[in-house]
Amino acid sequence: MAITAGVAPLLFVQILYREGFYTANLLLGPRWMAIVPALIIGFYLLYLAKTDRVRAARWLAVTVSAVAVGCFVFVGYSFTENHLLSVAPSAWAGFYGDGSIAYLVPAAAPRYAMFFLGAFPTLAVGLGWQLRGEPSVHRAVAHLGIGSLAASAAALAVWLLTLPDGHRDHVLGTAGGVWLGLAVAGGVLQAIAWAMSRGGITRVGLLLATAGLTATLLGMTCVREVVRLASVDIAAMAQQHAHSARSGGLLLFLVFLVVNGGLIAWAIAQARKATPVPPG
Amino acid sequence: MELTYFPIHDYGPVMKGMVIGGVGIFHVFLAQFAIGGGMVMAWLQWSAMRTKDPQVTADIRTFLDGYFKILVLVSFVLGALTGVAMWFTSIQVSPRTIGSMLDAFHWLWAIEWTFFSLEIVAGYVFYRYGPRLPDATRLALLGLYSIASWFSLFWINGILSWQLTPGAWQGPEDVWVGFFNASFWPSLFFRTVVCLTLGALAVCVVVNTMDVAEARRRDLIRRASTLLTPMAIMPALGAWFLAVIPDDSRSWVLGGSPTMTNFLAIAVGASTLIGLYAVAMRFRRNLTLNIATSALLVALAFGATAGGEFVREGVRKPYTVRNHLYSNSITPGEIARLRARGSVTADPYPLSDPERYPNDQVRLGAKVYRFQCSVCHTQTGVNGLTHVAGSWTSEQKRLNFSHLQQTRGFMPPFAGNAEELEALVQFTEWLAADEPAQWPLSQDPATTAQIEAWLVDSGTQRGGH
Repeated sequence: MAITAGVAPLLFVQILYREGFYTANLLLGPRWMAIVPALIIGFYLLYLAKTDRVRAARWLAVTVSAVAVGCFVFVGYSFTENHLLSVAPSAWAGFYGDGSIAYLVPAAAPRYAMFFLGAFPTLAVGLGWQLRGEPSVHRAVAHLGIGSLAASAAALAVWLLTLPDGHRDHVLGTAGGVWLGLAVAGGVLQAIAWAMSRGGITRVGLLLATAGLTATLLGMTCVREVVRLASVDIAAMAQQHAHSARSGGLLLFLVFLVVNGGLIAWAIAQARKATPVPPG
Repeated sequence: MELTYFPIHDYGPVMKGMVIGGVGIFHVFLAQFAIGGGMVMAWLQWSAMRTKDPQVTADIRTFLDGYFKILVLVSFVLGALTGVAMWFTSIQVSPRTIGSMLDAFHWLWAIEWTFFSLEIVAGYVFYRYGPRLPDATRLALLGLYSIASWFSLFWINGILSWQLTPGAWQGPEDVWVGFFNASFWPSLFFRTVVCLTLGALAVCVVVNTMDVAEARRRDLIRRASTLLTPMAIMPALGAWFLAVIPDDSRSWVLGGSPTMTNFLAIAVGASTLIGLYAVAMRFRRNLTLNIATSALLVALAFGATAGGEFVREGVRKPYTVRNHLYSNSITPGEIARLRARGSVTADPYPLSDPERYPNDQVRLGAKVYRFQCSVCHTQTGVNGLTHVAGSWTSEQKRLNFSHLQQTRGFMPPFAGNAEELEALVQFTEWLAADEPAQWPLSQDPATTAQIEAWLVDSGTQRGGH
């Protein structure tokens, strides 16, 4: 589902920021394409990690899990690197001429740290819903939520401080201020929810954490785009955007989005009809 | 749309078509297997609900709950990932082509994404909860999976077939004209039959690994192999496809291009063998598909898929979008302008290895090769410049390059000025001479004038067949 969900943004980034995205893909070349085998290896290792044979041997379980995590960390970093190169057109010709395969710039570390650490509050919410029937782990999940929020907030501060002045002004100004505020408010909401949940996760607490997470994700997505828009010459893309906008099918897309969304909800609801697994 | 220069990679002796072809064939085979596998399983589930024999019902359930796990693992993970790989590979090989496909059809691609999401969810719910669900729900989920995956094919097929037969399509506003193009329906029906065939054959392989009595195994195989029956209409669908594709494309697969004819023969031959075995099974009741036979037929089906996909890609030459975009990412309307100003004059990307070349003229030739030729040719490897033009005399090269579209009907017109053409001639001869450290400049004004005359004579339009 993660890969499938990623296809939609991948589709529209090619419409909105084509030259930058394609150029970064091409410049990084085989090094960028390595994310595909890394994803294949990572996902299959996760399946492998669930097998009885691997679970029985602790060293094997740790090794398999560590390699899988390594694959996903590499993929995440590659996206950060690709994005930073895509918004640096002045670096393209030199990068190509040098035959480089890695775009190592100081901006990569704080940016990747922020998005990497930002994944853990999402994990905490997911675990909270999945494990809400198991009180013994509630405290650990709440601590994961609070701890990762604190780490994410610190990474966000470092990222903001290391942004070029012009970009930071956009994030803190009219264009990005509202979205940054939404993201921070979402974070505060999550922190309150997890603080409430240390004694035990409740439905209300989880709903609060989920609402906060949604606000943070929405806010940070927009903040990220504000930075991108400050980096690219959007006026130069106007002609291509106008050309693409002439394509029909939007109405039909909305119809199928609703219909297929309903069928997806129906399919998920069928899981409830399953007879329970016998104990033991 | 303004011409955009992208950085171009060199894969040494490997042709870029081989890179995208390798990933593409693997992905298409996998994706069509996943669609057909879903259809066969829905059919078996329905079959299990109709039979009055509880043993058969139990066998089918056992099979579905075991086999489906393999199917979802393969199709969900590898199918989804090779799909992403296809996208990234397309960007590596021809960013302008994939960009054009998105410009024209991004909302249809987004529709396809909704169906793919439905396919994944329906499949996963069956995978995770199927064994504990009632029969009617199982059938509904498998039906949903099959329909969603088939519609995924429906949308992608329209976009792919548009590349070969765009018809009256002129731009993104003609989305439906382009989508329901001349080769849309024959291609869709043909692929649907291929999906059913792959699914049925794969089922036969897996059934042979089950620990059940011979008679029950034969019964399962016979039920699954019923879905090989639509293969009977494959020749008609193939003929329909050939009838609607452009005349020149048809002439290449029917003998005009030995390579394409051979690949078509592989596809037809392999499909015929599978079909003949399916027919034999219908008439000889004691004939069945053991694991060796069914595995061999799956391998033949892979060969047929590879041959078919090669032909489908090949018959588009010299275009990636017929009449709109040449294989080297230059539009027909840009040829005249590039001949006037030079094709690489505005290319911002330097050579990554300028010290390799003996002088600026050969360097210019290398840039022209990179921009105009390298998508289909290598320097000295597969389909290398030295192989296709190395034995020509200098005069022959100048004449043939300037009349490229007439020299070979599946080549685009040369899109540069006379200086660039001469530089490409010198680059090719330098390569053929084994890259000596010293190479004389070719700067005879009479030669330049002759090339200019030939370029005018050849015109900027596409050549004959």
